[in-house]
Amino acid sequence: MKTKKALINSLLGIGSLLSLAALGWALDGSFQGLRPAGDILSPSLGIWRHQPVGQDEVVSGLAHALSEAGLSAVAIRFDTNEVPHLKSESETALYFAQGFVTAYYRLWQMDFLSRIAAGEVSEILGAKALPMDRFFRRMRIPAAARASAELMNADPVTQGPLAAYTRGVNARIGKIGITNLPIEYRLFGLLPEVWTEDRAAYLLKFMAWELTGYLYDFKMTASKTKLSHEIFEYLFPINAAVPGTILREWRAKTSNQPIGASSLTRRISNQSWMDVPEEVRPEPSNGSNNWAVPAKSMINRRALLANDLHLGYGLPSLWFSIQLTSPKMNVYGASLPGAPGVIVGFTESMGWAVTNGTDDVLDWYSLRFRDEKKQEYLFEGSWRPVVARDEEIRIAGQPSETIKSRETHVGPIVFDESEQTPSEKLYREVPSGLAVQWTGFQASNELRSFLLLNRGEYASDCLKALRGYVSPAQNFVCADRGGKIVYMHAGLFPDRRGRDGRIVVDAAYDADLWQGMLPVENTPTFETSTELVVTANQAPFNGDLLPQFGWFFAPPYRALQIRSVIDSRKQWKPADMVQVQANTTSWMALSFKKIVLREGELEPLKTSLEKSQCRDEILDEASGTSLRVLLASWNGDYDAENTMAPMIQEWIETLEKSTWTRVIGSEDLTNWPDRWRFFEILEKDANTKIWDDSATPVVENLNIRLHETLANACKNIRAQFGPNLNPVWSTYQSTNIRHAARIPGLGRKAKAGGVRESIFANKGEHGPTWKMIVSFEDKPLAWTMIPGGQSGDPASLFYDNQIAEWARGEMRPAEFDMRDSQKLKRASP
Amino acid sequence: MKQIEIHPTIKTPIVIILMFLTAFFTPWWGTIVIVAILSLLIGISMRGIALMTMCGWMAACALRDVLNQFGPSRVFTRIFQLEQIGLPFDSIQSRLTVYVGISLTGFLLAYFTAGIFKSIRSFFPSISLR
Repeated sequence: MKTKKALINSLLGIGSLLSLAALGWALDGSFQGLRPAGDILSPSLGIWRHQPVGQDEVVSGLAHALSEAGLSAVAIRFDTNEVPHLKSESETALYFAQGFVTAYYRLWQMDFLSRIAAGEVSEILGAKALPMDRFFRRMRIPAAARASAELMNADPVTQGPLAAYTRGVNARIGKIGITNLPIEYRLFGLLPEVWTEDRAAYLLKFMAWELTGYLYDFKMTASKTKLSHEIFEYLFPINAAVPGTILREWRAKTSNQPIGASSLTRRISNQSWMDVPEEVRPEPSNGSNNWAVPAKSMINRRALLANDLHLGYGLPSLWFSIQLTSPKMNVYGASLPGAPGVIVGFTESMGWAVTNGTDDVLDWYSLRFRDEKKQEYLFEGSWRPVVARDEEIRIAGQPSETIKSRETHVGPIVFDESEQTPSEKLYREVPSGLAVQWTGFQASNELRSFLLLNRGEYASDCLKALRGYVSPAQNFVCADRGGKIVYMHAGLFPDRRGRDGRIVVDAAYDADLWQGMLPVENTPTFETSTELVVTANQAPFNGDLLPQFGWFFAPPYRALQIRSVIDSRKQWKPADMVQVQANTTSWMALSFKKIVLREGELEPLKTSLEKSQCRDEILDEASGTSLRVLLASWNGDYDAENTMAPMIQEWIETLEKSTWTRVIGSEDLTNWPDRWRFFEILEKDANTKIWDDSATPVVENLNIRLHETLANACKNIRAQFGPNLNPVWSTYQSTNIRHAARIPGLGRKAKAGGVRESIFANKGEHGPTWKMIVSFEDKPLAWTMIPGGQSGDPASLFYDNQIAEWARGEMRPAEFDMRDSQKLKRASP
Repeated sequence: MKQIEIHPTIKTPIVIILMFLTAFFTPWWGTIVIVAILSLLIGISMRGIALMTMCGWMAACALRDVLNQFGPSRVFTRIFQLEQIGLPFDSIQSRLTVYVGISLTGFLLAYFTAGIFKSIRSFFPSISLR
């Protein structure tokens, strides 16, 4: 009996010990670089000590900080959307307050994003961020940012605001205590460091990379190598006219060398393609919409400006809404946390809106090394030295890594063969020795342009403000109270002297390198007071001068849809424009529908539209309605609850994938024609040889391909969603707004409609991040929306409070205070 | 050595208050230390000490949450994605779920610690204060 009891007690002791050890191990272990779970869960530490940001705390903290800094008073008001309205007689105090308040709400975010461009993320996330840090360091982005910061600090327009803003951020950092440390610092076990002026430059260079760092040259080179000249020119016509360009025509003021297709074939590098770390690849859809409606088309007879910026979603929201008022400035809009002023917004009498120019301002060149040491490369018949330097990357939880950064007179060498690992996808068949030229390497002061825009009174002030603007190249559309509308394709563009930038070329010849920049006076501009101006990343104009700017402009679907919707009414109420921005109809899908209905008159597609393998999904069994009938009644809408959209989208993508994989190769390896060209071929060339597979005895045409891919699309949907489920669009394309540092649980899912080609261009993890509509009445009448909230604090109700409305396409009125407003009641200090 | 005799009616509140103070002021392993000491000092069942620890942790969570304007429970509601199981954000239900969920950590820590000491006591009654 005693033995049995002893045995039970032994088992109890051992079991308890093992269980406690396991629990202790779990509580002491870290997950994804975060602090140990025990520290996070314990009521004495971690999240339980966190106090959300409160308005009263911000107001009193600002008063105290201003007093300590010896600065003038700043009046502050928070509106119902938690947007701070700051007003001061002193602009130094105003920018100080902007830095202070922004840091209160977004310190972690501005720190983290600036670390991406600085190549310092491994310090937080550990070794998993190394590929990204190595890439940005070798890409020379930190060096370019530091050079830009020097320019900003030397320019009287930017020096004062930047210094005051930085002081404001540091005033906040200096007052951070255990209870108000941003939660991410708490979770990662870090403390914020002193903020410097460089950090704003890092953020702006990061945006430049995100919007211009396209890496299509490698894939295009592979496509060119694979295809015959005839097929290549058929699929990728360099000067093909497209509808819906921003300008009807454009003539350069000074003579530029037109670019013809023949120029492409010069000295093509035999370099294969390469892949780069996924984390640093800019999203191809980074774009946006903006449009200006002339006063004559508005019921209130005032011009209207609309803008939605398409970037990657994230929490905290990328943009921080703010109003800044001083005797010389009154501006409201989206600020970039970490940089002073407003990036997109409006003043009392004018506003400006931006979309990505989608220009080609980055070229890759292959280097011929003298030997395997790769210390010298060939240029114009002689060997030039590669300049190498060591850089240290600090890594959380392990020793630092030293990498070699190598430079040529062409540009930096970004990749290093020694780091080739399959998991990082750095290389596949690629010899190292690719140098890159990018306009973003230039020391530049874009902040100057934005701060000048913040003081704008007339639309024409945009032209002055944007003089000297370098990167990222953007379509600026400005409008004012007087009804004037101004467009400018602003940026710095390389002069390739007759060569287009599609292919990786040999760096051994000076004639193939950039020969400076295009003359600034040749930048496309346009002024009007009677015409609708629409930009949606499409080509700015047609003609043989276009390839000087780029060759991968977005297909004009969104631009055509915007024009079509706005032209559908003679006059608009400003508030009705909210529905235009929320429009989820795809012009492209409607084009596809027309093609399918046309081809559906012929076998074998005719049969498959009536009776296909996809019977469960596409036939309404109760009514016996066929896909052909359902398709004919579909209006091309990709709203969240739409059941036809998943089928059509899957069909389009299956057709596109099967066609180009067969003709060109895998999408990972080669460049495919854009969708506009694909649809041109669908519409006009039903019997072209690209539909035929020469390996089969049958001569395939479009009809056969549509028939096949319908069946495959059905199989795909069935495999993904089950045999009896007919997914709605928001299930097929789920919308996921993740935390900036990918901390589990701090992101949010939404039920939203929209597709890449619709005006509301939601692509699941990418789409409208700032929406703005402004009607220039005597007091601007405006609406805004962000997929998130004002606060960067997950403990705040304002962290993600706008997401549901954003997903429904709604917007909130912007509470703009005129300069003489009496609403600013809370005076400080 | 003699075990301290405490009347059962006041033992429970005293232990709960002690565990509350432990949870409120010490890291998670403080619970192990205090439960170990209590297991030696006073006679208490594994389940009893674990439940009292859980109550102490819940009280500590609730007080921290109130002191910090319910910010912590909102963060945990997001991290545990409680909205997906139908608990409204920033509601009493979600807060209580967070308190109970986190306090289970205290329960398990106390339960296993008490189990170890119960086993030790059975083999070495002389080191027990009972």
